[in-house]
Amino acid sequence: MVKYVAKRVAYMFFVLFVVTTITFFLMHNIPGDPLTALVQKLPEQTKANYYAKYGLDKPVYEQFLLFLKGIFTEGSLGESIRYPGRMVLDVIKKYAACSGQIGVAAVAIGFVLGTMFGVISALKKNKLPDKILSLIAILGVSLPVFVVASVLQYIFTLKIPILPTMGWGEPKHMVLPIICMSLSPLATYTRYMRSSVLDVVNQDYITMAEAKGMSFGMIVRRHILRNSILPSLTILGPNIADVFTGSFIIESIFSIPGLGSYYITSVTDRDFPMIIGSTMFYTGIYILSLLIVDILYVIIDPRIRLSETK
Amino acid sequence: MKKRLSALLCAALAVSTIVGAMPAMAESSSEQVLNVYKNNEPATLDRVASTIDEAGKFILYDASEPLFRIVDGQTVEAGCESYTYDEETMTYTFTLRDNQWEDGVAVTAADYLYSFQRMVDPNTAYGYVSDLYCIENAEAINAGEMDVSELGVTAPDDKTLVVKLNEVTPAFLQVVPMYPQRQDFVESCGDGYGTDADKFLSCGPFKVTTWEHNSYIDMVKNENYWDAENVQLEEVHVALTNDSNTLYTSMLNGTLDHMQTSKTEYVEEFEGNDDLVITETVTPTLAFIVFNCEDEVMSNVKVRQAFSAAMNRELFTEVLYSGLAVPAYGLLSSANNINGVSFRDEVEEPLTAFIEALEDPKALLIEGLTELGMDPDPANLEVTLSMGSTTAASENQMAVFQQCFQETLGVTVVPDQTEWATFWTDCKAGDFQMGYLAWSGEVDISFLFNLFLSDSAQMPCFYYTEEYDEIVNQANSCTDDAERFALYAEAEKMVIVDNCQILPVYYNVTNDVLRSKVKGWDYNVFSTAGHKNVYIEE
Repeated sequence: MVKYVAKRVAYMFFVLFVVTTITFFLMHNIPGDPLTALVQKLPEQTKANYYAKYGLDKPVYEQFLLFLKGIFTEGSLGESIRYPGRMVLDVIKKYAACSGQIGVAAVAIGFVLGTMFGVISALKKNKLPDKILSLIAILGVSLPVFVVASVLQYIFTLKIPILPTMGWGEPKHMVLPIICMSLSPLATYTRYMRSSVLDVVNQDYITMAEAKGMSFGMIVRRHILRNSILPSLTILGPNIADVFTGSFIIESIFSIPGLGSYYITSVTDRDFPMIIGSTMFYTGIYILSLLIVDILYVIIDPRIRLSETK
Repeated sequence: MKKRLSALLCAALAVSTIVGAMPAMAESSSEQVLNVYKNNEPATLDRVASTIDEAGKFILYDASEPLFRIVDGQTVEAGCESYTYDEETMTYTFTLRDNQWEDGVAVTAADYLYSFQRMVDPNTAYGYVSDLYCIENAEAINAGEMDVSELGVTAPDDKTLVVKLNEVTPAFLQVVPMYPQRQDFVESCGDGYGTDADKFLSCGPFKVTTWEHNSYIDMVKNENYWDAENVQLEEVHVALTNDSNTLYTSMLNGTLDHMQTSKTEYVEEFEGNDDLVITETVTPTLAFIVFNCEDEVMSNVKVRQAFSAAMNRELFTEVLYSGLAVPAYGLLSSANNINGVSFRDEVEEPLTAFIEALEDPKALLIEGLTELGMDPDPANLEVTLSMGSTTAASENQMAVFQQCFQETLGVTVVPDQTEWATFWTDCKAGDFQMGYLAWSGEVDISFLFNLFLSDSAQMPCFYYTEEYDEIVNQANSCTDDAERFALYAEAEKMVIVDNCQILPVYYNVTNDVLRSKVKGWDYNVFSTAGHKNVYIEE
């Protein structure tokens, strides 16, 4: 197990390096640079100073080496060009926390409720609860998040004004964004759980447990949940990674100071250090969450072994 | 199990209800609170940084004190009490007021001098540095040939600032931003000056207390401000969002006091609300198509004029903006003015007469194609129209353009829509035929004209003439208003008709929606008054 995890972590750094390298060179190959995005009538000399200040006058491979040097010697991802004076690492640290607060709550609610809904739905197959929950699940998957957000905003800030339209800093600001963001995971987990529970309830060991006289609650917790939750776990990893980069749309609708806006605008602004920083962060979280999910597999299903058996 | 599950569900619902029922709106102790918004996060509050943007300037009108402010179209003394101008030596002498920074330290002439020096310092890479080239030695300093200390700005004592010009510049007071910056404080912030609430020092009517990036900026009244007794607002809350639906809802539920919109459906809803006052304002922004005059087809002026004449501007504004935009037949909208007199009141739009005199744009196009030695049949002509946007709205615009040109001229228009940075790089490199752009005029009328000067070559039309340069330069340094109008009228006719470097489409119009209890609002598009004179009527 320890050996396996060590190996996976080593792989992680390798993948991170490859992604960073590819992104770095791709990014410098798209047309335009931070100055183009600003559209200003800079005199030639000023332009040259500007490029020199950010090292953009050097060949790309040299910029890449300088970037690597910055990481290893100073532990720095550089300074944003669009927002001078803001260090990329500080921005990520601060705003990933905001996105994370909303996102983790949303995924947690979505996962817990979705799992419950899925189980109920499967056990009451084709009865009323199943039909209601399936409807919720279909709505959750198919309704665009900005529609849900606008409708919730209309209801809870205009018709029954009990929540703020936008802002940040107090728990009340988080209610609507969390509801919006949890809807899609909730729907997804409901559907995954429903189909995998349906699979499991027909297995012989369930019949056997029933025959033994095991109570219904015990069967659900011991046998059904454990055996049917694996597919949901698989998508939990990427879901967690997504929440840290935030949802650009939700963040902009509720004006939440999250990472999502930096993630999107850095590309349109050609803010090179910010693009590479946010890409590295996303990649890192993504790989890490996959590893955690793999470890969770073993805990939940002891039949799965992590190291390759010969 | 069933019971337990439903109990859990009920608990979950109960929790969300309790959370939801918490007191909603931020209740303020004072009535003098203004809630406004800005579309984007300010990149910086450092007025002379290369990245200073509209949002940053907006905050600075409230949080800092320039030497002059533009209030209702007039330039009035703000940070300076009075000034003299000596025509012979071209020297301004400003006498400052007794103003203080938010920490109680006096604002001195040295603080204004420091920001002047930072602007021309080549290391700052300030974007509009060429506006300062009228100051003695500024150009040489910016080119790295001289030290900043040799700039023609001096501070003989704490209350006096002297600026020496090297050419007559009628618009000097309006164009050059003159904001104080305190050297010890700026240096203590390293590269980070103006990037956070604690890395910025206010000396204006309000001081910045909180800046939650991408979310909001809070300001409160600055008791150390020289004119604090005339400032009535206690708090200004600036939300940072570009989601129009959120703003719309906030206007309706009362948590926002002002909104600008071009959406007809919002305006219709607001009109039925007695609590809101709607004011329509023409902005100085022109949307236009720029021709690449080095392109084979577009190199012929008759071809360009044919396209310009073929454009149905009324159709465009009616279909896409329900009349909430003004069809443009010139370069400057009615918002552009000299000393309060609108340019459009004095000068006819040059394209109107041209189109009236022209019988058939298609014949003109055929004539142009023949001159080029190309196939004269427009049906065999394919032109590409590029746009730096891929939104649904811009696709609609593209469709109207295609319809106008294809119907009237019989040519085929190939759409080329990419995201902004790609589009603009192509434009700068001359890798396009026609490009759709919008550009906003500045407080000084010369701004849009200067884009077409051969030494700035800001406008990617790749056709600049000495004749035009001469007229515009003459106009820029002319002190007689009537003469300036005449010269700019001539320059406008060149850009729009004679050389036809661009095809004007429409002047942007915006609706200011204001809560009726808010008084003292300055609607002037160039206003730099901030919210100093705004108050809430109780």
